[in-house]
Amino acid sequence: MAPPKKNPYPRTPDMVERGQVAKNPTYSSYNDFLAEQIAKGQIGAMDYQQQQPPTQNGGGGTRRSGGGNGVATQAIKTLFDQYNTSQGGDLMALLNNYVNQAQAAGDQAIQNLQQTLTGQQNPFTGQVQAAVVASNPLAKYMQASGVGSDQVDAMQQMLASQAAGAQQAMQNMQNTMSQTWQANQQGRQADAATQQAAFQQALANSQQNAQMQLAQQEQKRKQDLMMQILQMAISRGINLNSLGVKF
Amino acid sequence: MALANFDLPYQQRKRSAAMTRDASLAQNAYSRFLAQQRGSRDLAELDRTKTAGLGRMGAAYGRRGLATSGIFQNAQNEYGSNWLQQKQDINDGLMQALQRLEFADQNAKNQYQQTEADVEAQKQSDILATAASLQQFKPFLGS
Repeated sequence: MAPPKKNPYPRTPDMVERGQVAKNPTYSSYNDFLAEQIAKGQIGAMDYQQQQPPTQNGGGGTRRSGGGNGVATQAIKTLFDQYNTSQGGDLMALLNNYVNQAQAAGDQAIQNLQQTLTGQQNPFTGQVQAAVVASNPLAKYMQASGVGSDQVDAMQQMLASQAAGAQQAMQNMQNTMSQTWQANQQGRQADAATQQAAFQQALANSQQNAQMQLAQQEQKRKQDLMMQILQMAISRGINLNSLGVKF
Repeated sequence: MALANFDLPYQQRKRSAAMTRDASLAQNAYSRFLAQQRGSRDLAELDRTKTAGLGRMGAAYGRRGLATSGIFQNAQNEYGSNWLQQKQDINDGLMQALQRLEFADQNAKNQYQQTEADVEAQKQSDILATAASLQQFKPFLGS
């Protein structure tokens, strides 16, 4: 028995796809199906180069898919619509929204710190309690006896002087601590102000960087789309001017 | 970013510092009470012993017929000066103890304030760094 004869006219890919379209009611037309596949990036422009069936003299080669130019044209228009529709706008609005939120959060944080600092009271203020100086315990007794109290009085004066000196020394130490605390507090306030300024600068830098990255992303997206459009137009021999598209 | 969760570790540190401060203040208050009690007791004891000694001293000089002598007058001044100095020592000791405790209170309050300010500054710094990095936007940049 002779082997089965090879089919000289196999089903081409677009024929297979047409069959899928026929089975799927979602697509109203083959063009719709292709346009969607292109938009999803699942079909590249070069996929449209299809193998031509062998000729009678045994030759073969590529051909432009018959009737596919309409499909390709539609796909190019779809890609071109995507090209002209900027996707950076929404992200830019989102970025601005986040910048505003970041600004508010930063301002609130700075305000909280300043409130904390201004709400603190210097614990070293206030006067040291006056020294207690003992009185002559024998004053009345000596007075009644007609005894002079010069020696005791001298001792009392010396003790009073020493107590006053000790009190003053304590007060000096406390004053020093109070001034140190005050200086420390002013340093903290200054730090907060410095941080506030640094925050404004860092936020502006981040915003600028994000904007640049978004712009780069958008530029790359457009370049990729342009490449796809051009590949498709070249492979299908479509004159873009004839489509009325302008870049 | 949930602010409540963000704030939690900072609040914990502040509560811990507040607890340390309050423990110091309570301990100081107790020490102050003990110092005052001890000072009062020491003064009372001094007055009691010195008063009792005064009678014996007067009697001793009287028995020797020296009640109006310059020696007795000098002895009274000596006795009075000694008594006065001891009283003042107790007063000074008490006063210094109270001042040290007052200073310890101030230090405890200051320590808490410094910790509080440190924590707030750290929190502010972290919030600012997070906010300035626009962290929430980074996923959209593919980073």
